[in-house]
Order: sequence, then C-alpha cells, then structure tokens
Amino acid sequence: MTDGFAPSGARLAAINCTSCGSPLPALAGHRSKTLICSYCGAVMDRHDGYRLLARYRDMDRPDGPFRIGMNGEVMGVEQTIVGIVGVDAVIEGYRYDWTNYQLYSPTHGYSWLTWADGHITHSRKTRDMPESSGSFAYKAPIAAAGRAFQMFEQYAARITYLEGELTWVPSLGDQTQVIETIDPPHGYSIVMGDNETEFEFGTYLDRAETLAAFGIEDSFPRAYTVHAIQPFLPGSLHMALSKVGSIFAIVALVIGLAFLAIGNGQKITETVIVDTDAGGSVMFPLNRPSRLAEVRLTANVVNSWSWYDMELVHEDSDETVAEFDGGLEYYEGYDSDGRWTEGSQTATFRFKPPAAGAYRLTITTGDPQSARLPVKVEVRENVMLSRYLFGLAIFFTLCWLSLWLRSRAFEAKRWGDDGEDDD
Amino acid sequence: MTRIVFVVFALATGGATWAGIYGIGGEDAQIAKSIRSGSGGRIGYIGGVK
Repeated sequence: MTDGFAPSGARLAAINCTSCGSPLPALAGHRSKTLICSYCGAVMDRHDGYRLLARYRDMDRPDGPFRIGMNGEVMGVEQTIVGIVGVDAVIEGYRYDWTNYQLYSPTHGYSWLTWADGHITHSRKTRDMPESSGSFAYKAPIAAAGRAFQMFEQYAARITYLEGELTWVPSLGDQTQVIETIDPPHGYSIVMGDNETEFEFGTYLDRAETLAAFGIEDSFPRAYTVHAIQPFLPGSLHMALSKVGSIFAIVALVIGLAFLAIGNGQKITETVIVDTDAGGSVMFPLNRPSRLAEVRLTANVVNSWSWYDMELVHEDSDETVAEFDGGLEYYEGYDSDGRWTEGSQTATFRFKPPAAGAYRLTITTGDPQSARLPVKVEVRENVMLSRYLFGLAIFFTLCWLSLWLRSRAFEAKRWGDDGEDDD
Repeated sequence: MTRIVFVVFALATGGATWAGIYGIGGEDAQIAKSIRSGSGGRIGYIGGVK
C-alpha cells in the first residue's frame, strides 16, 4: 500500500480499499481525513490506518463532468479533483441538488468546484466574517470580505453522495444550515454545522474555460437557469448596439425635431376658392424640383364631407402634369364618454414637381353629393419629412433600452421574480 | 464592434436625414403615379389616375 499523504507524497499514489480491496487513488494532502471507496462506499480514516468508519452501499454518483484524479487550472492554480460530495436541499418546497468536487493544490490547499444545473462555481473557506450584524432578511445587505453582498437564500444542505478524499469525516445524510449571500460574480456563504460555523467565498466560473482546463469536452446540457452568482454578461454586439444606440437615439430625435420645426417649408401662395362648382385655380412658382412641394386644402366641413378633382398644369408648356382627387371629412358629437371627433378639416397632398417653373392648380367639386364650402388652398415648397428620423430614434432607443431590459429580466430570473411557475 | 455599429448607425442617420430633406417616399402616391405616367420625364403628359 502506498499513501499519497506520506511526507514524500507529492507524487500520485494509490492504496487498496481496506474493505473491498479495490485500488483507490490517494491524491490529497495530509489534511485529508477520510477516504471513501468509489466501489463499496467504505469510509476509511486516513489518520488511523484506513480504519473502516462506515460503509454506504449503492450510492448513485450525481451528475457532473468531473472525475477523481482529473487535473486542471482553476483561477490560475493547478488543481486536482480528489473527492466528490453530492448535496441536495429543499428550498421553498422545491428540491435542488448539486455536486461538490473537492479540489487539492499542493500550494493552495483545499477548495471546491460546484456543478449545479450546468453552472460551475469555485468556493474556498475564508476567515472573513460578516462585517455587519443583524437579521439576514431576503435581499438585505451583508458586508463581508470587503464586498457588499445581498442575502439570497437560506436552506439546509444534506449530503447524498460521498466519494474520494475529504478533509473531514462526513456521514451520508449530514445536514448543515447555509445562508447564501451574493454579489455577482461572487458569493459569500455562512455554513453552520452542529459544532462550528464556517465562511466560504465563492466565484462564478466560465463553464467552457473550466471544462477545457480539465480537458473535458462540453457535451453537457446547457444551463437554462440563472445561477445565484452568475454575472450578467451581454455579448459585445449587444453592448455596442446599446452604447451607440444611446447616442444616435438623441441625434436622430434632435434632427427629427428640427425637421418638424422647420420642415414645413416656405409658403408660396395661399388663396380661397369660394365656388368650387364653378372651379377655381391658383398659380404658383416651384423652383426646387428635387424637393417636396405641398398643397394643403382646408374647409370648414362639420359632420359632412367634400371631394375635389384637381389638375396640376405646368404653365410654361400649358400641359397637365398630374390629375388627382381628394377630399375632407370631419365629424363631431357627444356620447357617454364626452365629446368625440373624427376626420380632419385639412387635407395635404405632397408631390415633387417634375421641373422648375410656374404651375397652375385647378380645383373643382369632385362629387355631386359633396358639401359646397369655400376651400382655402395653401402651397408650400421645400417641405421636409421627419418620419424617418423619428422611426430611427425609436429603433435606436429600443437598442439602447434592450440591454437594460435584458439585464432586468436576468436579475428577475436570478431572484425568482420573473413570474415563472416551476410546476 | 462599437466602431462598426457606430458607422452603421451614422450611415442610417445620414440616410434618414438625406431622405427627409429630399422627401424620399413622401409624395402622395396618386400624384406620383400620375406624374410617373409621363414619357421620358417630359413635362406635359396627362396622367390617367382617375
């Protein structure tokens, strides 16, 4: 039998189980107190000649990617998996389970990797006690280890599986009370056993990096939950969209408002046609054929409508450029909700003149049923549109806010405030 | 990534500003159709909208 925790035991070694004789690796250092056989569940006292302390047969190894003897770098330190502890807890009526892997480093001692729902965290004991006292209410602030944590949850953790080398003498079914506090990507836990209270400092690890460090291919189901200490890490594209969107939302809004203020263009002419049955016309020059011109009709229609036929003639050639029709309708009244209105007493027609020059617009009543009212005709040119910029401002604002909304949804999922029913 | 998004957003804002100034897509469809129905852009062709 060769024991790895002998003074020269920095090398890999193995012993045979004193109960079933199976070969077992001895990888941990001197402070490892027990060795649990992977085959027969025998719990042996390493400091007492591997004396049999207990035996737990037929334990089902919990899910997880790591195995005893695996080596990998965790947070910059070469570590070896030396033990496995399965744990479960019932929190608010739901059973949760996770797997703790005892890590050993000859230079840094013992710590834990935890696999929970596809998330990987690292934790180690710390001498830092809570700096604040008082009740541990949900979300209450708790200062410790120089950080401001928030109370996350409290539960009783129960051991459901044991294997390998561990630094204490565990029993299957042992329970400890745990208070978990969080400050993502870190966590601080107060672990209260029967005889002692320990404090642990945890860190959320990148799953892909950690598995790769141990040479494990990541074929495990992806994590669908948000871990208590998982940081919110949006992608670089989303970060860029939000950051740049916040700038351009304001730029687009300002330009859009400027267009709204000055985009009415210049009034070219305004006249009133009293008798549209007889027809009337208005003459005006349009000198910017690349820009929008606008004909605005206004009539005092109330609970009625009027319809007009219009003809736009280029005066220089005396030929018709366009024929079009359009009308106004406006209704108003009172009901149980108060006053209501519908329609408008103004209609706008926009067009780009095909060429510079003088134009004549002829307007006549377009429908025998149409109301006969004097109609004001106003012509403007150099009209600008703000709709595109307002549309862009909305899009940029959504880009900007989407990161905040995503962060809120992430936090709601972390704290279980997202309204999802786990049933 | 930020620079790429900045350039794309700047181009979009510039495009929207240009379209707003020149009124791209702001024409009344009926009038535009009537004007377009002219041949070779020649002034004087009678549109047949109605």
